[in-house]
Amino acid sequence: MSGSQRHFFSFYRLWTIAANTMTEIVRQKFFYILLLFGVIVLILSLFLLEFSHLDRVKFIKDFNLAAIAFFGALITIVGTAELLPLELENRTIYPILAKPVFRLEFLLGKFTGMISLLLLTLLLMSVIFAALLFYTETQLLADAMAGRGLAEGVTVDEAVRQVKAQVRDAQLFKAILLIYFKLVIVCAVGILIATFATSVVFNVICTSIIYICGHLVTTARAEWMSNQTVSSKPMLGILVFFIPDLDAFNIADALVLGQSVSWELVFQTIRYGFFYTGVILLVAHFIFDSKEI
Amino acid sequence: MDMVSSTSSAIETRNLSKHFRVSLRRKVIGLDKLNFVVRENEVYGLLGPNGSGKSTTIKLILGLYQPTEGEARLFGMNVESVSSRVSVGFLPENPYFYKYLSGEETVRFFGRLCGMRGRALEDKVSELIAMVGLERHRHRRLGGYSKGMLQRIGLAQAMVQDPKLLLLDEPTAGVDPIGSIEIRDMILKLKKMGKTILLCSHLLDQVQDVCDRIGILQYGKMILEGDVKELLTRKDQYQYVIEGLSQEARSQIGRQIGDKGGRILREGSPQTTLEQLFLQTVRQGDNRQEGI
Amino acid sequence: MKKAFLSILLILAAAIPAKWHLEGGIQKKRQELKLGGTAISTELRSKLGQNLAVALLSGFRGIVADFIWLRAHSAWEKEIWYKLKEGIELAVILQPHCISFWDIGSWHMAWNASYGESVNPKYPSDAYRLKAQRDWIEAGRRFLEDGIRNNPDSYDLYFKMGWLIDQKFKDFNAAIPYLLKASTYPEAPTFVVRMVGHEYVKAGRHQEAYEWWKKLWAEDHEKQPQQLWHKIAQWGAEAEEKLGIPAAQRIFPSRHKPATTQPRK
Repeated sequence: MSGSQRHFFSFYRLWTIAANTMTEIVRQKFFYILLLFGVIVLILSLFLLEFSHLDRVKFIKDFNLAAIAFFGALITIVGTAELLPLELENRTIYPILAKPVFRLEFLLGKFTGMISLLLLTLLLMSVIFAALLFYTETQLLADAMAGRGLAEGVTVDEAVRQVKAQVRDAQLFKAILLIYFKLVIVCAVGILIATFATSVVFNVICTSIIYICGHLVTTARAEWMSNQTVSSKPMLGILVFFIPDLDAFNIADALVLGQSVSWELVFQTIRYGFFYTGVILLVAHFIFDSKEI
Repeated sequence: MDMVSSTSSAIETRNLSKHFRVSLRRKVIGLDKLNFVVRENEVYGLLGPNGSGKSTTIKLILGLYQPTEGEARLFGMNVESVSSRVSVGFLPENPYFYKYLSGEETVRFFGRLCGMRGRALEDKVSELIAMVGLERHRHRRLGGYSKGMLQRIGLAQAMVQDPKLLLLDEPTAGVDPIGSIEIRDMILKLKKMGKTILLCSHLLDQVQDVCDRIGILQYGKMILEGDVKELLTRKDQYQYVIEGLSQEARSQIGRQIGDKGGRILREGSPQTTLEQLFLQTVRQGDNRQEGI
Repeated sequence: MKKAFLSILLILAAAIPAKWHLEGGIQKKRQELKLGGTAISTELRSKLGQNLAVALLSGFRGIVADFIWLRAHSAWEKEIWYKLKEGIELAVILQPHCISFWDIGSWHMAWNASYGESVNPKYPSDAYRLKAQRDWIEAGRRFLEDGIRNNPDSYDLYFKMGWLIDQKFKDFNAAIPYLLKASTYPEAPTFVVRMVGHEYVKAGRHQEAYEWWKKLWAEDHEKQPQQLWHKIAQWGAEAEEKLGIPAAQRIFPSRHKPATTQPRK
């Protein structure tokens, strides 16, 4: 190896760090515990149903999508908060940055590792969700075939078709896709906070607050445009101009109710997710690059 | 693009300074206008009490800190460029690696970070693990490694991209005397292979044994620098160590020394060092074990 | 350090207007698609209570609505009617596009609560019971009206309204427009379409019922395999009988020859 060789940003190094980050998180207890809880809660939705006269399919969908979003957020927030502080605290970052590795490669490697793991987690939960839906469908179909619970005048064929139309909704994929991109933003926010705050607890609290506030941005925006009173403007301004609009990623509720959401809107929202994530990571990069480690 | 200022220098610093801000008003000077050169293929010992600026120097050389003033160059390349780190391997003090990786995985991970892959990487990993004598433990996770083993795996990862320069920060801290001797031997072997080594250590005996030159830092300043042999030789004194002389012959020679105008400052049977005694005893124990 | 700070300022200066613009585009489209429910007012927050409000704020609207619904459901089991109504109304505030909330909610009011009150021993006299029963039926009807206003694209609530008026007010003439409206939606099941004809019969408007069966019969039987064509044939023939249509003008196959009708699968 000659010393005069120039180095450029390398995806190979980025992915090396990302893969290692995935190993790191997977070998931690919190990940398994949260994942296990998530899976238990998903399955729990079947038993909760026994006691209710809800619209079964709506409930299963609401419950599972909420559980996926909730446990996904929990894993993202806790996992991301630990990424950089652990490296600094255990000083494992020193030998890494002593190699010809750009700090941007390191930062993006950590981020990529987290969101890749998140993708696998959501896929796993989605598969369980699909299995539960399939199970529910089998039950409902059995009921319909046996003529149980049919409204007056509804033929068995019609009931079967109705059940299938309600259960097999390919649009649910869009909902999970947007949940994923919402969590990608949350992950980027966690990384940004970690570049200047070393406390894991502080990071978890901050990211959680931003997560919650992110769902108020739509409301805050409407308020900002309609309300002319000065007193509430500063708070609204922070929400409107800095906090990501996470509510924009919520299409699950509407999809469960059978409303249709166009791919156009889905892609538009994903583009917004890319934009916000990119800006956040760029800011994180500038802070991390000038950081004394 | 990078001007090679002097082909024979591995490390070169010019007015390298680092100030730390403790509060808004107060600053602490970590390193003050440091100028020093490590030549290629020499072993240089950087010494100094705690807080004298050794670690700061290493972090500056590795680009982990930004200098407040001045610059450092590795083989003529400014350390602010990531490329400068191609030719340097770093063994941190108390090696901090991922506990969840095995020895082999650790070396492989760092090899990948240096852009290595495939057969070449696997061969290198095996070679280095053999070199540091960890073949039997290559699949064990680092969580179960002893300090000495960690140092060795640290050395292996430092050398993975075959760098010309090695920065060793306290390579023998917490290692038992045998491990310590082995690391010393390894340093000498590396020198023979043509490597340049910067060694930070508190164990002065060891520094004395392996270093060509040393520099002593205090309060962020280089207060003494030079060739080890020259610095330690007392040119006004001379020493014999003699074997097989009778008591009578000894007193005769003593008298003669007095006649010639010399003065005996110290005489008696030389004591072996505790280190040597320890090593001898332990090695005998090893032999007995193997005999059984 | 200063360089980094300046870079960040520059990024923000460019990013904030872009953020505003992008979010505006998404929200405009979301409003067009009627996504997202009612805004969360202070009043709504106090009605929900701390935990549910936080859950709602975190984007879990659907599941919050479901839990409110469960609460309403247990109020039904305990026959605490005002609590049932409160729960139902809160649920539809959260998810005004949830058809089943409107549908089942109005059924709870107009059927369950009204019946419960009609046999409530706490009232001093039957007059009170009758009054309470009527009030609940009216509440159910008004609730369904709100539902239709919020979901004009759904056949289901029009149909339910027709059914409610039919069952609870026995005003068949008033029910017909709702059923007619429901039958115009292509996704409406076949019984909705058939219901219109029956309603004409109930209202005594036999000529219109006959016209309705004729209109249905004229449709392409192949395209509507779900439709009970043999039944329509039967009802059409009955109507022809009743109206005394001359044999030459009759179009429905006689009851004795069902072979010409579309066989059901």
